[in-house]
Amino acid sequence: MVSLRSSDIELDVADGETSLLRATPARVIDFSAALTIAGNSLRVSLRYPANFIIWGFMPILWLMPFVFTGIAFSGGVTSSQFGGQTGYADFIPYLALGWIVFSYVDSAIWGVGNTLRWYQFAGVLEPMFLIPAPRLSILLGAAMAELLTTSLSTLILFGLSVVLFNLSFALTAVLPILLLLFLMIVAFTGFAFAFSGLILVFKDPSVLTQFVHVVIYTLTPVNYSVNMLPMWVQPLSLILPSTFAIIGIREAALAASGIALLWVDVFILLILVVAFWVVGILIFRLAERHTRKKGKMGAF
Amino acid sequence: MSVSFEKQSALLARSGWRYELSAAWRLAMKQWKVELSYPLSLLYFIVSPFLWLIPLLLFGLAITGSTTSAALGQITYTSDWFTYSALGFCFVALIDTSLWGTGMAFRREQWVGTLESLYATPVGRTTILFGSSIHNIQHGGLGVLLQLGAAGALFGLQLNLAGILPALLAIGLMFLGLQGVVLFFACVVLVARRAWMAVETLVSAIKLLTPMSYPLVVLPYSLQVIAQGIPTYHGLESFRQFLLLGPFSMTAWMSIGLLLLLDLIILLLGWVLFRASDRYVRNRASLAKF
Repeated sequence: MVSLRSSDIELDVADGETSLLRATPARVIDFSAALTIAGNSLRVSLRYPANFIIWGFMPILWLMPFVFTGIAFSGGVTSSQFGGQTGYADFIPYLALGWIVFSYVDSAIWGVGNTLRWYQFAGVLEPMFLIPAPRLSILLGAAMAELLTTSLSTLILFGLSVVLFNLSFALTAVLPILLLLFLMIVAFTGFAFAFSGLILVFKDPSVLTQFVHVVIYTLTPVNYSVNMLPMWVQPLSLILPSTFAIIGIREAALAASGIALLWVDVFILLILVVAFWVVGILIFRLAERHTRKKGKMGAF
Repeated sequence: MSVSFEKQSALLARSGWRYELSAAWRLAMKQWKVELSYPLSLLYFIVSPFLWLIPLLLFGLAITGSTTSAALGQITYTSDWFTYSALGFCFVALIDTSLWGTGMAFRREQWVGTLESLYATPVGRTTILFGSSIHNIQHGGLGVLLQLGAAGALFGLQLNLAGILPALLAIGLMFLGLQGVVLFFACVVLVARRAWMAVETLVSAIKLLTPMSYPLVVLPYSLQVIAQGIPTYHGLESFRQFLLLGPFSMTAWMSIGLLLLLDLIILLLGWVLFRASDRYVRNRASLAKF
């Protein structure tokens, strides 16, 4: 922990800034500040330990209606029609894996994307914006904290899926799954930057978050394959990191495809990571500048 | 603005159900103004009911390859899974709007710093929740009309129009029962604050037990028993049967009878709990705490 005494800061009245601020180099992201913010977010999260458990169980409650619907429509736990569409006739592990991966997308949209709005509700947005670190560090810190908390919840969800649906895969699939998951999470952090910018501009997070959530959820092959979407929508699905991550993870877990067969998914995800970060940072900066010019940073 | 003492006294002395109803109506209108002041809200309100239906429809198509399912026909009164699910979906969307909108009404006011001001207005506490409910009925009802309209225009949804009036009765009774649940949510908001957790858990559980796109028989037996005790299950089953089988479905009318009984029990319990938690929070002076 770094402690700072007021005597350490030399106030330069003429310039209106301190030596500390002058000494702070201009960076796109300050990882040290991000780590501090992540630690702070985790401390707040740990004040409500029930959240981890609740978020571990919650996706099962969202997944089960699809499982029951599938059983009611097919009359069993397999569907040859579904097998023809997706390549996996047993739809329950297919759905469970889709929901496990999508919980990270959820976290990027609801958790990281809404960070600034939660700060605004708690009345600390403006003080947070005054810290001598790039604004994106705040979001990156929130993303790091979300990654940890979401992983804990996802472990519960995974455990439940193993118990309830006999979800299993070979140990050799673990590495490819973790790699694909990691790349998807990094790409969606870039998306969360852009999304936070939009929330700064449009303010009401409930509508925007739900809209973005439902659009990404519909386009991502969580419950069905991409070819179920209308032809003109399919290209949109193919620019989402979650599409390639879910397809690759299913191939690794359910079809035991090794990393050698997944390199295309990995390569595309790498491209999407770069694209999402560049576009995300650009949108956030534009949105931030727009909001500051309008003087609406703290407005509801 | 200065208001004379006599006028102030007259305002504060107002009482009776007409004044409470008028206040509830104004609160509902206020909520519309808040929602419509965000430019994206209007767009989302129009497209969202349809957007949320799409993943379910695509999943159904992936499983069956058409809009009918012989397996569903064997365990329910129809093999047309599309109409069956679309009706279930509309009903569950109403439950969602009602429980989230009204259940979180106090928390939203707390977030924007107006809960204490609202509490200081000379109206009953339950009127504040009732106002939010009126808004949510309007909001949810319009959403359902849009949803059914779009499903009918795009996919040719087949309904028995003679069942509309009893179906509306089913919706009305379900809303009445939900007010009891909402009162319980408001208790959680007032006492525990982290209300979204309780609301999210209970709403998700209620939605699982309210068989939107599957009949109750596919649930494990223990869940079937629990589902029989919640008003949304009976509301949905009667609503769907009236619109699919017409107004003379005996099982639908039996569900309406059970729904009435459940409404009375849940409303009474919710009211008692709300009174107790309201008194508890005010005694501890913790109304504005986060």
